[in-house]
Amino acid sequence: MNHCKSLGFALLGATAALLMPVMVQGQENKNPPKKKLVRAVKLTASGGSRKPPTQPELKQRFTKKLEGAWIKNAAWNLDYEKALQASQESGKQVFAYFTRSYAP
Amino acid sequence: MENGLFSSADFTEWSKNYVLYLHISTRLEGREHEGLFRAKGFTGFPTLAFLDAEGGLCAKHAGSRVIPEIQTTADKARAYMVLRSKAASGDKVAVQHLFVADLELARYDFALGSLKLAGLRKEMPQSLQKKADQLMIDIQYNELRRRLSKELSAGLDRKEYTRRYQGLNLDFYRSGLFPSGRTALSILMGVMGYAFQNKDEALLAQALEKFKAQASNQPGFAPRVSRYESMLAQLRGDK
Repeated sequence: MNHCKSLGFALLGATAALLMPVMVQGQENKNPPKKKLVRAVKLTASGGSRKPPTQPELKQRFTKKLEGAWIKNAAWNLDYEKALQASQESGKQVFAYFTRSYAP
Repeated sequence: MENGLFSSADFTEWSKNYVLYLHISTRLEGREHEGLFRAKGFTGFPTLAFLDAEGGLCAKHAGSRVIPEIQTTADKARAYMVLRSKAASGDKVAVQHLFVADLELARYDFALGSLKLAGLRKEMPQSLQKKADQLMIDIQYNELRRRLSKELSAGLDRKEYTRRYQGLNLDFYRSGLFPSGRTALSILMGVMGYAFQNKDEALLAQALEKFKAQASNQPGFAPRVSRYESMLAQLRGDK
């Protein structure tokens, strides 16, 4: 848990550090930002040079996700309406797990 | 979690008391309910939540992903549903607590939340008012932040985005309205960075004091404070 807090704190710092040099551009800035930070900001701004996945690639990732053995370990419902209907009929709450297949 | 908790026999047993729903965001075009994650107001994967039979959010799990902690969230969801029925039957205290619970679940946007709070405030005990006020600040900040992110996605120039983002943080800082949790620290670090770059010694000193007061229980606090202290010393020395 503490480890997670440290990580979160580090991320906050990284965000602030990343934004700091850019936010003064356009104003009188006598301290030019360090090269490494400028590179990091540029990389973030461009979203990197990676191509977004195509629809067939996304479909493949989705299929692979559905093949996970863990899905068969419990009665997961993939249909939203059916899950709500089952909740209505049984009086049980819905326990929902939101995940993604397009990225790890 | 998938290869751990969700693959365990304990989970199989525990899950029999619930209807399980698995939502996978795929980015596939034209897929039904693809936008459900965003529609529920969630922001990070993975998210575990308890929903009612209408799909309304009753509790979002924020603790460790182990059965006892998830059960605690399930109990909160159950308590929320009880509160809702009490409020529906006309219990005035339940109405006030339900409103705050709904703010916590981000079921209201800032405009509607403000309106409802104005109607309920007079009868609310001070402690509940204070909680509602803090939640309203959180909602307001998140809305403005999200609006800005949307503009960035829609093609806003990144420099302009950064300028507006800094402006937003400075506005919240100057108004004394601090969102809860780490967002407040993020704002303070942004303000200190801005102050340093603009050689605003007074602003840096003031924000640093607030940062010390708010972040003292955070791991990694001491080195960060000494970094900002040396930035302040540098400004003072530059004079």
